[in-house]
Amino acid sequence: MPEQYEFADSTDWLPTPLAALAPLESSLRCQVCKDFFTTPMMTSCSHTFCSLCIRRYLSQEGRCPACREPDQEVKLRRNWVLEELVANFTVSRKRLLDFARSGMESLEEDATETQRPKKRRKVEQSTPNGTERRSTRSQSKKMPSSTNQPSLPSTPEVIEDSEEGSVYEDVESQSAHFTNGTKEPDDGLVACPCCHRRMKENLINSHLDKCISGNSHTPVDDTFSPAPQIAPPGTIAYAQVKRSKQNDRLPFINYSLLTDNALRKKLRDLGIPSHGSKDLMRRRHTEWVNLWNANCDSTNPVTKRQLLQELKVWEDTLGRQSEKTGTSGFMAKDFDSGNYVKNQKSNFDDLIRQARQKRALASNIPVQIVNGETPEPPQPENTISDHELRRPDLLHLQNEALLSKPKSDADEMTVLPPTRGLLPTTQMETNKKIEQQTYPGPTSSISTHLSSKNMASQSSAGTASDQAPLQSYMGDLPEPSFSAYAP
Amino acid sequence: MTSNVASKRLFQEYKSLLTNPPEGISAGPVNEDDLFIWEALIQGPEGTPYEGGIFPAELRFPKDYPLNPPKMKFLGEIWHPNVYTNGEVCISILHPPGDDPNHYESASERWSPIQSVEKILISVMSMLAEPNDESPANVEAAKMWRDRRLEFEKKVREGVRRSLGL
Repeated sequence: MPEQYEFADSTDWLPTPLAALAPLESSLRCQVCKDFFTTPMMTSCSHTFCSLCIRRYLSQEGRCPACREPDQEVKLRRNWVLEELVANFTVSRKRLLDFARSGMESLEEDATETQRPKKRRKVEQSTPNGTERRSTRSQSKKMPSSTNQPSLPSTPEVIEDSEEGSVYEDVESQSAHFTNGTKEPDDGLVACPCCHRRMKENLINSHLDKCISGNSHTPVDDTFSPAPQIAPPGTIAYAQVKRSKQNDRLPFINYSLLTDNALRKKLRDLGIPSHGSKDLMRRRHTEWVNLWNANCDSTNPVTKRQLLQELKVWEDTLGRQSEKTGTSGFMAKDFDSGNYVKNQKSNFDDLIRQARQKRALASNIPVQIVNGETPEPPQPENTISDHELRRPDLLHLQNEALLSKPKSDADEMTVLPPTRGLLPTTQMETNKKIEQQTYPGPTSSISTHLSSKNMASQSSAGTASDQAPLQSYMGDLPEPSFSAYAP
Repeated sequence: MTSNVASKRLFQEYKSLLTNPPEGISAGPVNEDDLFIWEALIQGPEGTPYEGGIFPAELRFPKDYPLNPPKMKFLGEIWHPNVYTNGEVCISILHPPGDDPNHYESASERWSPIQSVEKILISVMSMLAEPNDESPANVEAAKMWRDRRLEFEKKVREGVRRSLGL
């Protein structure tokens, strides 16, 4: 339903004189959803994404989308400053953009009035005044020639500005000039840098002292206040400090440890739909945990009813769709791994055989029989050329690897391809488990405890649920992890 | 919600491709009611046998985009080592990071949600300029590219001319 959203994006700024704001705005947007950050969370590799975006990706891939460092959702931390930046920017975005656009129009009008000289030389000739000429020259030098905004009428604007003696005016100050147009009305008042209220100059110092300490009673003139609804800086982060956390984060569970019925019971206990195959239940639970935990992160959490509504939308679009295609697993929903393994099986088998032959030839040790396969008599030259015809890319690589590696490694090579090919999903899960185990439980929970205290977002509740997934991943008592959740 | 994320993001990408299009590339939904099927036009890069050609392609996005990459398929004929004979494009940026169909691509080259349609199309353009014969989708084309370069270029130019109706 695209109509519901205002599809604003950073390119809105490009045709305006405030094109410099485009990169600013794109850095306030999540790289995954391309929207302004909603509840920005920082990964352990210090990349920031929306809470729900990063949770969904981590539950699928277990890696940071930006640098692909392995990461876990329990290590995500709030990025308050960014949330504040986004909140403040979005509040004034529309007016800023309107202003930039109207500024552009008025510039265009000016340009047509002055007939818009095509060459700087002409301007110089037509303006005998020395100051004007000097400023024009410096201005046109500083004008970036590569900016793709042909509508930006630089020269005429400069001539007008030069009457104020602004020899140093350049593009940036030109933009500043526009912003000043709204923010600094010529009312003889000054704005408090802290709360933006405008007042007489002789009041500002005493006001500022109070404003900083948090109790400003200075009578101020609000009539010209440029953005009265903008919250004073710091409100988001500090208002949250004392907010009590009613919602505990849900832990992920090790689905392979649960039977269908146990998983069904878990879903029922959580109050979410419990029908469907185990795979659907698993994906539904994952989505629910993501939605729930992202909601716990949020500054303005919604009710469980709304979350259930979102889960239903997910169910109607993704949940059902993926079940139809019948793909398996977290990973690579579009990759037909089964088929691939089937197609490549002969290649893998050949590789195994080849490597065994080589080893047998080299060491004259009888080849061990694994998987009930009997090694064939050695005929290395033949097999290689035969395979190269069939699958040159893969075999080319593998052969090179076999030739260059020492004999002991060749043994490893024989095992590797089929393991990777046969069970990609299981292997990733194993990898995950290994990753989990490499972070010793107690240490990591202590560190998360400390940092969550610092972040002040998830005091004691955070640690309980932080620890739980580690336990369940390692196979210890998945049961207690759920006691943390009270509907 | 999830599907909204996908269509919202696709619309964002569409908009930014409209306002700030990369050179030699144009792309957008075939029908604005369905944001999940796009058509793209790619110019053959200069200095390559594909020069002068305009290659239409179809992009199909999964409902959980951008968690998973779209599929890309050239609609006309194109003779290239990394394009299957049915037109499907095989480059690393279109492969989800969880699996590695060719067992050698480094994870850093593969799809991640921070990639975009624009980056895909730019990658495809540079793929046209520099085929990767290590993982050929079209083995015949790869062999020809490797062993009989002149013949390969001739065949490509003929294809381009045919596609332009010359």
